[in-house]
Amino acid sequence: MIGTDPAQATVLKTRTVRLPSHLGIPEPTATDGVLAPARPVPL
Amino acid sequence: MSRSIPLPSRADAIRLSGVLAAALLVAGCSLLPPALPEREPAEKTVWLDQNWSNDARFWFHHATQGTSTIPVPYAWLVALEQPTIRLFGDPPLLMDPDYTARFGFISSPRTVDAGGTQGYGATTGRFTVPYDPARFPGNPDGLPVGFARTPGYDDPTTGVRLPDQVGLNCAACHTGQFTYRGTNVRVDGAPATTDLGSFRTVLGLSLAYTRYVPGRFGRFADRVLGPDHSPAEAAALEKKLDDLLEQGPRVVQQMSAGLEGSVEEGFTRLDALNRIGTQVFYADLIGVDDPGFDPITNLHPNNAPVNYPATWSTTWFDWVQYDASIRRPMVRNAGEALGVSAKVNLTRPGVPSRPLYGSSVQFEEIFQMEELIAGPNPLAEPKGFKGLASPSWPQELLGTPDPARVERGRALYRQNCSGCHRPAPNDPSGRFWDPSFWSTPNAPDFRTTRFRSFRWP
Repeated sequence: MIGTDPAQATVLKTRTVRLPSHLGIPEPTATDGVLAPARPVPL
Repeated sequence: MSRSIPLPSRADAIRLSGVLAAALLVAGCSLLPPALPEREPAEKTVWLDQNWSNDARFWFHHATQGTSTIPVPYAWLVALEQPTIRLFGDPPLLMDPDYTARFGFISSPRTVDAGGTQGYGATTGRFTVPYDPARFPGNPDGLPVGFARTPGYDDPTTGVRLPDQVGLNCAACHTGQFTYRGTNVRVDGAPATTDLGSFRTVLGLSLAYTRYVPGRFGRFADRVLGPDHSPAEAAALEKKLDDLLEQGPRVVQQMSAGLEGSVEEGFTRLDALNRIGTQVFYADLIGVDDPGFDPITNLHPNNAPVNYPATWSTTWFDWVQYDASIRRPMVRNAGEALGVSAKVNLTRPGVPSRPLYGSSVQFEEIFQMEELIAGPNPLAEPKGFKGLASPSWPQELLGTPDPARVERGRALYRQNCSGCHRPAPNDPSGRFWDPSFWSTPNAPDFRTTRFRSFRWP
């Protein structure tokens, strides 16, 4: 699901899941999933 | 030849109705197989020229990614019958090409050089990939495109040896077809027209019918075990079938709350990303002792079905998936393999022979698949996608387009579409190959040059 934040960055709202700690995967940070602005390119 | 059919006992009938109801709970549908459309008859089949040789095409359609998508062994799948009741004669096999075609699957030859309507015919493909016949059993039972026989392996979670499995590979969802004036036209890398949900329903029904419709289990056992099998072997097979029929509805019951709100995907669509998540973040965690939470909380309804995207040139995109969630092709391929039930060990480390993250994914195969789609660097002269190509308009089949309309369409595309979708690769202006659309070479990635999905500031 794609949404747009106030800074006009496209934010990837991924599904939230929990993982067992022994997998060694760190908790996501606030910036995970934030992409740079995506705009149509005029040609 | 007529054949009398013995009536089931009352006890069997009760059990049958209960198991059928439970099996159908898995599928979420009625007690009868879903209505399936008849396929439009075709006098011949044609594969379009997309740079692939026939041997590359055959390999791509049936090479395994190490998956166990179909929840029964290979020997079972090819021995099951269609879940229909016939007064005269035995039902045809479940995997009869005429039947699987009604789910949208594309029939496929047993050998690469087979002739007739199942064969590839003379195609002019050039690009091929070497493969090791010892790792590729081919398609000896004539399963549809995308069905791969996975040789038996040790389950990386339990260590238990599994018999040969059946997995879906890329081609199952990324090979398209249409029929026009009696010709079935097949397109590699194009969206599939399958209904996987209906097939799953029918598979469950077929298993239940095998167990409880008189006469079926005997034929099934003969096919799986051979005609000279012992009563003990038949009893063991029956026990495995019973266990599966008991387990399936129980799992569905457990998952029902977490999947509430799912929608019917039907033909041509699948919520693949959520299904991958369910497999990896729920099913693959079920066997983990004390994960610290209930994996049921990781479930999400399948409520975002989409058409299968075309795969040609996608290797060169800097982001893939509809939600632009993955960059590296091999990460995408490994995730896809896990989503269609390659097995992965997520249990706590402890047994040296079963390391954490040990999996059945066949990385060599999924790498070769990516290479086959990618081809050499498209920016090398002459510029162009040299792997799997989007097909040119087949004039010999569909007629010659009106040149004036082509030009009008080109202008409309430039005006209304190319801002987001970029110029067409074959646009006469050559603008698609403008360096500004491509990332810096030698980026630390599988590819050294990537086509940008968007222009970054």
